[in-house]
Amino acid sequence: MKDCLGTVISNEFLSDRYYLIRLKCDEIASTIKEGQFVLFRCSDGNDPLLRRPFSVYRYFPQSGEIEFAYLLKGRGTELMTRLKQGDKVEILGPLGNYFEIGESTTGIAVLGRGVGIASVAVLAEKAAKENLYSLAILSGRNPGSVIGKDFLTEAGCEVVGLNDEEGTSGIDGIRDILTDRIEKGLIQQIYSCGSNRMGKLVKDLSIKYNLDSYISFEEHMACGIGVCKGCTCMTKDGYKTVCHDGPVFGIGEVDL
Amino acid sequence: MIPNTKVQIRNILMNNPVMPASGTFGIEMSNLVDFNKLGAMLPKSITFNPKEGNPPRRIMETPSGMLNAVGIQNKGIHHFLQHEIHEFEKFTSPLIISISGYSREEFIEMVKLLDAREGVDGIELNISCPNLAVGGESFGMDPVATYDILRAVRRYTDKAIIAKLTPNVGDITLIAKAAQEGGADSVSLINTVTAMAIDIRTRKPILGNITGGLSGPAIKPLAVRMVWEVANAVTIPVIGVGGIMNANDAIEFIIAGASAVQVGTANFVIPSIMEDIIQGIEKYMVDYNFGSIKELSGSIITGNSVNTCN
Repeated sequence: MKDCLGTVISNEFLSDRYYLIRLKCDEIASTIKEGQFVLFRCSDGNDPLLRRPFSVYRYFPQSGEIEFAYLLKGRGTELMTRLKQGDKVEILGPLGNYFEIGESTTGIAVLGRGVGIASVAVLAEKAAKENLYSLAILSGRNPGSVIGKDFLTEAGCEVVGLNDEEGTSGIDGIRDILTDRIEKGLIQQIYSCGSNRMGKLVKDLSIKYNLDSYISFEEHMACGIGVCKGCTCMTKDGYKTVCHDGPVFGIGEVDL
Repeated sequence: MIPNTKVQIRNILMNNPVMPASGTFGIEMSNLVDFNKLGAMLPKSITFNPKEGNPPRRIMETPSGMLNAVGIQNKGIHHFLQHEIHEFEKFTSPLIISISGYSREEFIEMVKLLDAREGVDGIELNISCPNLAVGGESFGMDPVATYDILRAVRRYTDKAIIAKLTPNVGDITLIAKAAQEGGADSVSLINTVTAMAIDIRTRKPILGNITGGLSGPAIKPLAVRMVWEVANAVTIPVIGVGGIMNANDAIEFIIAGASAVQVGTANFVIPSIMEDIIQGIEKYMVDYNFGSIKELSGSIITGNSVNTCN
């Protein structure tokens, strides 16, 4: 973990309220792992004061480049949308633990909802590139908020895009798809981010079918490195920090 | 000429006046800031028994500040002494341990344990927590309770004792004087300002604990005023804290009368900021021709008229 200066390569509107920023930052691009995040300093001044956490969306160790997909939500992300090619940004990272795929695993599913897609997409891509079966169930409130479909399809994932507006994102539909793939023996692990409802579904299915599954949490953070204990979640061992003990937790460890 | 930035508080010999504020500094930062360059190290407050902390949500950002209601989540003093403190003892800077108690007995027991530990140079008493024996009002909100707790712990150590004062009082100088009379070697102020925020869509408080403590640049002018008042009321060294983001902010506190400063929320924004602040203070002393912190401390020029009404 280091406090680094990144250089903006591009910063563009994706769809709905989503943006994609690409940075050159060798130190982070060469060390970050799937599911880890960085703290982004959005302003030089005191308002907004705190840095913002963003999960790695894609990374390219060869070129030293890294991408973050972000949701325009408040002052910090509003300032981020104004960054231009060549601008310098302070980023602290890589932070937190990461997703791992078991050695005997032949296939995985990732479930991402909204900006939570940004945390799990990179894992689906990695699995597909390693020739594992990789199912990406991506959900959002409207078609534009389901990001990542194109590059995951290209990487070889089976991509299922769902949204509330068209009434396709119901939890029963997701359960049916997952149950089908599990019973066909295609997936042994599920990774989820961005929805408590989906997290509960993953927990149910993981207990029923004995799957080794994980959930990644999103929380408001201050320090991002485990000092302030501001971003905790309840686990079977008491409160744990999302930034330092997480953001990835075993699905059986946490209260959902 | 290189200015003398050394500061002494009883047995604590600091190379410069900059230390972290409790709750914002931990061993996790040791590869982001050089602990050996700090005036002192001051890890998160510990309590006698382990504390689970408050239910989420624990923090929220506010304009130029943040609210927190972490609730001193920690594993208790015995765990700290057995498994955590040695990580800090590896560094050369003085080590000050912040303790928080819910009774006189808890404070005494903790001071005894810290007095016996060679690596500990000083003890900061966080007296902003509720005193359960008197129904929850904090020790630090009452001059008599403040005096009593300082008197009680003073008997058990010759190490430096710093009383951390809450701003949530009518006249903070009364509390500061009570701490001095009780035997404190220094007072640090201000702790966070009690505050709250409400989500208007749900009409629920945003913090799990309902209220929390406000910190950051938003409270700095309040803190500077209180440090100035207290520095004029006591003879022991004052440690200024509240919203320091850079060297200029730290210098402002020292001019107001502080002998040292604590940096809190800024550590979350720029983990190496204390090193910059140390350098900035030294540069200011050179530029403005101050030979020592003692000269700079309390060098405010107020003139004669102080109008108490705004």
